[in-house]
Amino acid sequence: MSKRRMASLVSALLAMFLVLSACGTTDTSKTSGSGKPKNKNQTKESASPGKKSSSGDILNELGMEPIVKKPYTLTIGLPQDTNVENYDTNHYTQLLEKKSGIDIKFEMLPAKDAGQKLAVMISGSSALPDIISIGLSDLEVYSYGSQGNFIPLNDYYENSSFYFKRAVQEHGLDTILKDITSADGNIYTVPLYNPEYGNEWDHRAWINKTWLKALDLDMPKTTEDYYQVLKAFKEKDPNGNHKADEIPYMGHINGWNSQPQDFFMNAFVYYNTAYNYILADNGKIDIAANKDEWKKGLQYLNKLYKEELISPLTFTQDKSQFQQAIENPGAQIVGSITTGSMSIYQTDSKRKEDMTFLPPLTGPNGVCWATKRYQGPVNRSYITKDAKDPEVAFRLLDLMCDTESSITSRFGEMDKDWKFATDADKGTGLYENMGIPATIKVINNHWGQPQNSEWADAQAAIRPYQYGIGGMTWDGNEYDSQYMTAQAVPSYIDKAPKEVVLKVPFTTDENDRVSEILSSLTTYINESTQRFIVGDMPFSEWDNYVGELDNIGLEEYLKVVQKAYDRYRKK
Amino acid sequence: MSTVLRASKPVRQKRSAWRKEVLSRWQLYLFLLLPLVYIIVFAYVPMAGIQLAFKKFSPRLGIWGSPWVGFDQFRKFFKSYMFGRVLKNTIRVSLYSLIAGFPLPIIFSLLLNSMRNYKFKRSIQMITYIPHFISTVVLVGMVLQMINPRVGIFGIFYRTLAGLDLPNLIGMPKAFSHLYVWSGIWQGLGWGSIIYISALASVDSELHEAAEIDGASRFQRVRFIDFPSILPTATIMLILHSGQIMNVEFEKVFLMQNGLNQRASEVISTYVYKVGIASSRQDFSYATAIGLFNSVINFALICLVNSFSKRVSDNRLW
Repeated sequence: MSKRRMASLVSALLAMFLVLSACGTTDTSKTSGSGKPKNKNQTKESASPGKKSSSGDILNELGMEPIVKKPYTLTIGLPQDTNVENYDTNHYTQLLEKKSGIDIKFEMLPAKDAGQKLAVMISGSSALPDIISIGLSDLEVYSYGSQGNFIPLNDYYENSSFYFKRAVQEHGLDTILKDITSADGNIYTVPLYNPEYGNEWDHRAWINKTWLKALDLDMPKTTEDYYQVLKAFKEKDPNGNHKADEIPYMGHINGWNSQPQDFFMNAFVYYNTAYNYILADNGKIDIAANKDEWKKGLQYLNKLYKEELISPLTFTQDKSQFQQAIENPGAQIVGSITTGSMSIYQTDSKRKEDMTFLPPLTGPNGVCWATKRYQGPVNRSYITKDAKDPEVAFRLLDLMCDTESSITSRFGEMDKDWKFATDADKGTGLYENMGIPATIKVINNHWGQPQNSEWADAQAAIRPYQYGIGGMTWDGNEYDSQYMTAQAVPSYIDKAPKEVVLKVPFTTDENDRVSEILSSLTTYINESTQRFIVGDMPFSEWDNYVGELDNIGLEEYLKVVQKAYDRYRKK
Repeated sequence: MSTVLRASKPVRQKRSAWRKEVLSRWQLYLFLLLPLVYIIVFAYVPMAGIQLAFKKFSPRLGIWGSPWVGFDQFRKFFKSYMFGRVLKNTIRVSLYSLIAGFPLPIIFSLLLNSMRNYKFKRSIQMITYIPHFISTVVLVGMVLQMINPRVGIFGIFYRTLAGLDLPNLIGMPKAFSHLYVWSGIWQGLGWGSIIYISALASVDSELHEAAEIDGASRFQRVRFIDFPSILPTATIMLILHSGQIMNVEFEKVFLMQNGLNQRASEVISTYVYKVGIASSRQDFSYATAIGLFNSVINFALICLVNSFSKRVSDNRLW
């Protein structure tokens, strides 16, 4: 072996070592983040799944507290929220432990990829905790359930439920079980039911009312009005600093309905983001994204973009860059934005005080929709095949559905973080305009802050309008972001078409047929929408765009959705 | 050693010689053990998962129990709408990084080596390799912030100099590969040149002295002494790099992606992530198949370049 080659080999080895050591560091940082199974007895028990245990020895009668007669330990898999200080000493944990007598242990899943972690746990056939509590799609629940990873709960709902039954009866939620039933007729989940008007009608736009007033303009009602207003914002120096620094409209990516099409498309054709731009008319399924109205909407937005009324950063900047613009220290520079909530501003921001909601605009053809979102119960907690005693686990989940637990899991400790509204608070409800009485007076609002009183709402709960945000009292701050949302809701509500597709559960088979089509389809539609708006794709290519949708497999997709929708309607 | 060379000796004696060799240098072999275990555990054992590419994976049945489907997953990928696009983007981005990024560390190390002032040399070396330690997330955040036309440092410069707003680079498909490659070069230049600098340090100083006496200019010394002496290292590095052609840094591309540049920025690894892991129904088999396709091409390339190098020079990996 020549000396030269020796030298080169050594260098190469050195290079490889550098590469490997770099890999090593990233690996360890990753594994340290994700939780490892720590509960010993649970791994032992998992050897014999499905074994009926003698729950009678452990459990007390329905409705009696505590739930268990003798000490019992149960593990819950939860996505770890960084704002929760300590899950073991958490107030909500202690409330559950006190009422149930069960010692609750946690197995933490990574907050962002909890679903993936679960998939990996299942595919790696590692033992699952007794209860898993994360949001999953209907299809995921159906596939995990039908594969036997989650246990069907129909019988438990029938025979072992007390708090859930009571809540359903009290609040008149007759259809709740139907809504969480999987395609095979089984129920695999204890849901989180937490409807809010603000979330139901959340495609909102906001406009600078100070500027409207400064320029003596009316609140725009049509798309044409809005165009004129933005033009005036741009040209007439509404912030009065003699500089052309005004940004008439700005949005950002990866936000809560923060793109212009999320709001303005509704003046042309119904914009169904809840379900892939699907339209329904008398049970007939169609898609909005290849209609002439869609094109008209894009042309309108393209006009705004060309005249520099839409900031070009809208399609590339993230939330933090957007916030730098809307909180601009020198002068107010933003005229109009789209975002689900005004909480994008700092809590005490002066810039926020200029803004007010923009009611849905009417398009040239008289179209004026507002996007509606599904607010029924969603899949949340599941009992796994490795649960030591499914009935005890169900009883704990049942307890979570109690009204007091449900309020605690969102607002924290009673009489410390919140208390029930008294007569003195009458008429001060946040959603008094929707006829919801003031019910909950929040003393210490810790939502999104570091806290140790709840699990950041990661569990099952039954929390109708009145017991969620809707029932909160209002402290009189006109610029409270929730109050601003509440004020916007009446202008948006019921502006959706009569028939809206919110939820169409697929079978695994159907999903296999369309999942890839759907992924390409939505990517292509989103991408083309943005390209049409910024003019990267001229409208002469519209026919090519429509043809491309067909190439991707639009027809096949619509056929499958139609079939699933027919089945869903019959149910 | 002499016993080994004598071919007529029986096998047993050969083996005992080997044992003797190991026992006499057992410390060295002990050192070797750890990397060996590492490679077996983290590189060879996971290879069993490759079978997923030829199966229809079901979590219930597990990796070994899932049914075989032959080349179905590959067929699905080749027929898919995204195939042409992701392949083109992947090759464009990685070939560009290789062509632009490979020669620069060599030139840089040659320049640095012929510098006389030791302190200056050291500080330059330090400064250039510090960016290597910035994490990808932070790096991308820095790039995005810098090229923001409104508040970024380049945006402000451009406005003062040209009087115009900087075009929104991150939203332009054309600009994507440039941003990706040059930010990568900025980050990796110093680190990548370490290996060449160390190779240069081992060049016999007598060669330089002799050349100087013969009246060689500085450039001539670089051209005829330094460059040939790092050429073997460079060739090996090139072979290694060519085995990475289809591997684009997933995290960085993913973080730099947005709807407007997606046309140019969707590469195989981000696509695998999207269909295999991030989509509502995870398709591990499909993702494995795409990943395997990627690796097979990489392997073919590394073989190709290696045999080519073997033919034209004496440098090769095996």
